[in-house]
Amino acid sequence: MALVAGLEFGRAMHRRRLLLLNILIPLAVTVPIAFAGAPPHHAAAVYAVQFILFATFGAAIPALRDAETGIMARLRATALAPAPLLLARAAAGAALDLLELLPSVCVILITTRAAVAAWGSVPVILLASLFIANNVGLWVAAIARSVAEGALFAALAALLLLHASGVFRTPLPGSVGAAVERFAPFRALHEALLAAGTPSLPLLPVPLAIETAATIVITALAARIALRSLASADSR
Amino acid sequence: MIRASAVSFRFPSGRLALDAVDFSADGGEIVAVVGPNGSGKTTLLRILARVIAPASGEIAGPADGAPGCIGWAPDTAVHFDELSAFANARFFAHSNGADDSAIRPLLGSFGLEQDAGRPVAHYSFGMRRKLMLVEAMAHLPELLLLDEPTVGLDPASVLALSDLLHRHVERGQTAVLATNDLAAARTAGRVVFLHRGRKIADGTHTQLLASVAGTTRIDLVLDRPAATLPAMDGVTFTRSGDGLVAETIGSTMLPGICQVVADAGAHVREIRIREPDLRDVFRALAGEDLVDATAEPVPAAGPEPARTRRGPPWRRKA
Repeated sequence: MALVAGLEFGRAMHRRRLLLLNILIPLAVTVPIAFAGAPPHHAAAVYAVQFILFATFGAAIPALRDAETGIMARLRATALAPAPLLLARAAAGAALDLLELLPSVCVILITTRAAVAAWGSVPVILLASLFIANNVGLWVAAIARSVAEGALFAALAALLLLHASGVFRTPLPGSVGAAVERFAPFRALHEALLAAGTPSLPLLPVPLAIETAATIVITALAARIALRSLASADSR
Repeated sequence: MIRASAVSFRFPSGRLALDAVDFSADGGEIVAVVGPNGSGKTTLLRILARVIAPASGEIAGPADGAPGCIGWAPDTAVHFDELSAFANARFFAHSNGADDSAIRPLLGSFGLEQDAGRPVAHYSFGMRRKLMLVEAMAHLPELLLLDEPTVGLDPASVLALSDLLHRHVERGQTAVLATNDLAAARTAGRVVFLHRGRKIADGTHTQLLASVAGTTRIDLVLDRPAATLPAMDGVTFTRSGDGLVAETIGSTMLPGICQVVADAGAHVREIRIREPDLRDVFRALAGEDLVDATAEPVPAAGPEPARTRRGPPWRRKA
């Protein structure tokens, strides 16, 4: 896993322009909202959407590009096992996303006058959420037939999961939406962004930890099929 | 070392790329898989490399054992372009469980040692092809699968490749080359001919050439393609590009051959009399020229332009 993660970091560090853009563009969205005094619910929704789309697209599109160029086929021909390969790619992607989003997160935490606890918990919750979103991006890449289709599927998957996580609404207590929201993967991120000012924010909420573990299991189980799909992308 | 039994592969479009092909290569052997574009060479190598799964048939070989025993160089030179050549080679060596020890000598063999620290994005086509070969060989695999290995290589690198292949098989390991370059095929001890997804011949050079022994090939370069295929007793004419190949015994019929070609509406510009080679064997077996037998190609399972459609995994056989 370290080999693949190191590779992904190495590739990212050599794409300096992209790295800079990946820092500046989220900042360009975050700064106006953070300093404009937007209602907390609206601001938290925008931040959550931005972060999750960033990670989902950021995993799906490079994976599809690597599939179409034949890199995935070359990786499949190595001795690397599919599950560690894809999980390492998702983990490295999440860590890189966090590094790139960290300036935006700092702006959010400063402008919301976040409690000390939030400075620890928001990045941890964000990292776990980005890891889940990166896995979703890889799943999307495995079923998409082109980069354009991958972008479409990534947007659809991310927005549906964000909606299920209660980012776009306030569900009535006892409703189906509220029940679904309890198991949705990005609820913790949304709540952390909303409640950054409260001193009792948990470092890693239990449901998010369970959802992260479930994501690892799903990717590990589907890795062989997913990598086979990605590796045959240039054989159609 | 590697066995493929009745291997078939069908594209999602329904076209058959490989039709019940049997293939084997033993330790200490170089086998050349020869055929025109679309004959199924690349698909066969991808199946042997375990990159794609056959629709039917079985593979038995080194991939069943320890990991990292296959070195595969596909027909397109794909690398991590942001990284240096050495970093690329090191990644593939490490990902196959090997260390860096073979990388520098291999880079040196192909004249890449001076550029080993440069990002691959700045490499020429030939350098990228050479790096691909280095990456395939850097972990000293039991089975080496090289797809069109001589494409883009300078003559010195072709010689270096030939030398490396012979050293590879001297260690008791196996090499399979997919090529339509007959010069590269001569490196191999055995040649397998594929034509439109089917194996049409398998044997040593001597065995294959025996089928056309005793005949003379006369290559006729024409000023324009013949309107009709000439006919003459004792001579078999086949088209080869815009020219013709006349198969006969001896060369005494040459004046008559020139006459019937003229009668067919073309004039002979150049004549080459030669002994038969593998190209003639292929032509005799397939009824088509090795280079020209692509009129109705079966698409290779090799890389196609980006954004080609892919079926979802549950609808795919590979």
